[in-house]
Amino acid sequence: MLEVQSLTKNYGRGPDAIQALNGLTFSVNHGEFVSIVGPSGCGKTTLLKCLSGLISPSSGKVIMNGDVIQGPPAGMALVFQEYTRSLMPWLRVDDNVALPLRGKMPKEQVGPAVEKSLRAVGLGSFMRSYPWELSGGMQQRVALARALAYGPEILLMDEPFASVDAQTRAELEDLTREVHREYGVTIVFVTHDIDEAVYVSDRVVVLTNRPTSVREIVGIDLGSERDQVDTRETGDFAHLRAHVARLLMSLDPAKTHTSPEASRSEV
Amino acid sequence: MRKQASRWLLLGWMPVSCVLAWLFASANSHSIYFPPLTEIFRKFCDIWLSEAFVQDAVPSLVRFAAGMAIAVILGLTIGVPLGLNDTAYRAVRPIIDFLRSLPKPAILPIAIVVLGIGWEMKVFIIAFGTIWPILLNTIDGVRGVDTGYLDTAQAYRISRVDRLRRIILPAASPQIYAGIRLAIGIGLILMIVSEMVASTNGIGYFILLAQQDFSLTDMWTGIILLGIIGYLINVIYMVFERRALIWHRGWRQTQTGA
Repeated sequence: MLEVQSLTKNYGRGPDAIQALNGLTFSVNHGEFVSIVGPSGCGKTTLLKCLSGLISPSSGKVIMNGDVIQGPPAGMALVFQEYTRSLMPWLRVDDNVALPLRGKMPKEQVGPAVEKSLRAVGLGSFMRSYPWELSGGMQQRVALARALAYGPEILLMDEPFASVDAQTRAELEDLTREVHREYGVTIVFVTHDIDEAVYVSDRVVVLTNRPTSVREIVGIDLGSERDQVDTRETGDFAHLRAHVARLLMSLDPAKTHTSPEASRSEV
Repeated sequence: MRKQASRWLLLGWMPVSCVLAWLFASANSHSIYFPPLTEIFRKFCDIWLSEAFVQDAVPSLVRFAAGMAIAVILGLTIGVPLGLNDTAYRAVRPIIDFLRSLPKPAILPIAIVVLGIGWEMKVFIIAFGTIWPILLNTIDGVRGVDTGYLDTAQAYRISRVDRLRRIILPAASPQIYAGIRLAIGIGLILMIVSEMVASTNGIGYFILLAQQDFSLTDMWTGIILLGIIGYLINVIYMVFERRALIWHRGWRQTQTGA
């Protein structure tokens, strides 16, 4: 459904050019939940912008349902890391969710669609609030509701929970898994947090340092029912976590030498 | 209740004391330049609560409103495209800077020669003087729209019209409103100046005529009327702006608090 083929992105030209992405190849199946993890500054956001058609690659291509992506495709929704810069502060919560729907579905369907998705993320009673009246976690729920109301086949999420506290983060991870199941949407989830990647996804794409390529694709065989406490307690989870961590750490010899535990979840 | 009272006290003590001071100081005045305030007040009611208001105040206000309306419409329709297109903006920036720095009354003589001394000239002068703060603030506001909003618009394939009406204009609106607020002050000045230079009616014309007739009490009533009108226009605009930008105050508080 989503195929990434030898994706390369350079910034600048000639000898000063910076190679951000170097021939990435992977694919995401219909209905799958795939995480992308990589070291800080490895170009995860660049990758996501290429996937969403916001920027075009230097070479290689991204194919969605057989069509090469050349601009933001219909059927793809984005949840950005910085919700304060993606939710419009002059629009109330329901108007924010409704904004992308205008002109894309009959007027009388917009209201119910907005309400349904806001209820799905537990914000049914905050429709007439302004986003900035809500907590960070709730604002990110609004962004998620907006994406869901858009009715996407693919949902791209760019470090969506990086700026909320740990408790809220756990709730949002479970909420994301829940809507993934209920809406049957394919999710591509970019994160720098190994625990989070392993916990939420079916497969984890591990990236290398710059110039970025795919290091390994790790299957996450933890079943479909996951629990913040129980799942994270299992040996399988620990092994997968360690495996991904080693993949990431081996890229940074300094860290491996000094202390193996140095790079916990944050790499 | 007590809080309300102290707020009004803080707000009102100064104007009230000034009026009282003027009242007492001028009470037995025989100076023709500074007649008693009671006399001015009596004349004020005589003159401005009759048809003089229709004859002189209404034309002034209508010309002010027309000039401002033209400036707002032109400022937005020129400013938004220039804010969106960096090359075009840099190409016209020198001329904008030149024209906005020009003291506006300087063009009065040529405006009178070309447009005469009727309402066209006055509306033109007001529009020409007030467009610059509106234009510049619109350009600045549009240029400063957060790329996060624009990325969102692009990713969600939001139509061009909605992008302009529901994202770019609202995002730039705090600056646009500030530009209009500046323009109001300039517009009031030019309204009076244009009437004092060449006119057959208007508050400015009335004040000048009264001075030339040596009816200095009448002249004082015109000045007071102008003060009241200017004050009211500013208060009304501020209430309007506050309501339109209610989101902005709340949002800014959360931004600085975080």
